[in-house]
Amino acid sequence: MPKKSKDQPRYEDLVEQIETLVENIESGELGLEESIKGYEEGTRLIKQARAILDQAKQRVESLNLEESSD
Amino acid sequence: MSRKDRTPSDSRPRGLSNSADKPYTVSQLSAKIETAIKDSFPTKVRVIAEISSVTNRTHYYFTLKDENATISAVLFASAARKQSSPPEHGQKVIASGKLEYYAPSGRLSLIVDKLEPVGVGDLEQRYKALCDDLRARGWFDPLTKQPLPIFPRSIAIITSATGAALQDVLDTAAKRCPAVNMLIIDARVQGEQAKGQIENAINKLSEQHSKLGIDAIILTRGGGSLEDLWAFNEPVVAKAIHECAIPIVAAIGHETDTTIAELVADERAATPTQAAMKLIPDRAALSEQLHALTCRLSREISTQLTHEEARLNRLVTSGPLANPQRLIDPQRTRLDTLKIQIHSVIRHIQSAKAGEIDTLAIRLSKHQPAAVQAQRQEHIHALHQRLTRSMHTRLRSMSASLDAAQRELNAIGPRQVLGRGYSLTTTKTGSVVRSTKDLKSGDSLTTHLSDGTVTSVIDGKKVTERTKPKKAPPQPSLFNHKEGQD
Repeated sequence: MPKKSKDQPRYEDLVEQIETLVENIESGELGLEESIKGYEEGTRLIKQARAILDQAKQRVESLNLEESSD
Repeated sequence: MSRKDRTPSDSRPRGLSNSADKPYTVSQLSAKIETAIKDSFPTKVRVIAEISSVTNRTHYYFTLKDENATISAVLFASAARKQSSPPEHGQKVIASGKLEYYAPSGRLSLIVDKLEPVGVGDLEQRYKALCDDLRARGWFDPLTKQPLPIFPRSIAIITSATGAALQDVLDTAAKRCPAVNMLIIDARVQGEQAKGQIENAINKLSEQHSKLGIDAIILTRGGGSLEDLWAFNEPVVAKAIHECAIPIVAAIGHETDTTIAELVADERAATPTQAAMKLIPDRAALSEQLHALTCRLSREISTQLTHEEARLNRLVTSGPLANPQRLIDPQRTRLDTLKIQIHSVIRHIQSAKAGEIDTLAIRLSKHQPAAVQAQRQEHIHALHQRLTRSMHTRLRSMSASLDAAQRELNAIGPRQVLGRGYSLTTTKTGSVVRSTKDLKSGDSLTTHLSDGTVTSVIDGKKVTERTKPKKAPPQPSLFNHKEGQD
């Protein structure tokens, strides 16, 4: 079962968070310190998103629905 | 020589004319027959017939017949798998295949690769009716469609595990983004069991998608006839798709085929590959998007930093910070003034206090024990002097008074009287004899005269009483000193 995937943050969520951060910083309404914090957080999220993208091996599994239906 | 070039006369096996002269062996005849058949018929023939005498061992063997003729037919297992349903006795079909003469048994058979049931018109009618029904229910309405996830974590593929469609999807997925996990649900995609298995798979995935972490489903199969694809036109499959909790992309058959399943699905794709492309994000594109976000982030932060730096620089190079002395000078002057004022006040206070302190010190010193003692001694000394002085004065005054009195006494005293002829008689005890009555015979008398005393004894007594003068003229007093006799 690909349970592990449920614990990972969703890629879309990460990208959405990054976009929000970028927009907030671009709005010019944040102070410099907040901007820098946002930048650090954005960089961290980008790294996380990239790690998901760069997963090298695709997991392909077969599922028997009769067995899994318990 | 190609089939096209032959004329009907050419189609006769060559050398048949020689057969009367020289007999063929069976093998030769068989070979001739095989050649004649191959040459006479196109590679694929279609024959309309009724199926009978079906036997099923690995492959299907049956007879194709009509009212007047029969011909053997075989449907090999590989071809049978592509059929929506196995051949059944009594079924009217159009069988497509090639004719083959099998020499060992001297048997001519049609090797069937496709059986199409006759009566397709019925299916088309059913398809149209269902389309109309579902359209009326709004199941094809774009508004009812779920949006596809941008980046599904896992995708379930419902298809035949042995079909080419699955491989196309997996290849595309691997190429586009290996991060998306693929979950294969093997299901029959044609034949009687197909609709049940597909419906069941969709319903189960819909129920368990959260547990399985599946964000979307690909429902696919390769091309086929309307009958082959019929499972995807079944109402139960349409219902399962319509009610599925996660989006479904359907790619059934060739692009020209449109099944109900595709119309109800959230997204239709022309081919399995396209279905995969619709759902599986392109890693390169996403990577580019991330890169763009990174650039925006970096650019924005560096712009802000540059801006802040420029602001700082402006503050440093202009304004008060550029020439701090200008800020300090007025303050310094003010400070100096204040300092002078304060000093003056302090001095004033100090001198005032100093005066107070001196006074207090003096007052205090007066209360010191030694000082108090000295003061008291001085006081006593002064008193003593005053006393002495006043005593002396007093004594001198008293002495002068005494002298005066002495002189007065002397002036009026008996001596002065005695000098004038009087005498004073006293008894032995010294008391003055004032009356004759105080005397008796034998008393010793002392008579004081001006120049001395005479002691005498009374030897007889004779008293002569003095007569009282009648109005005698005043006589001068013996001791009338006012007369100034002395």
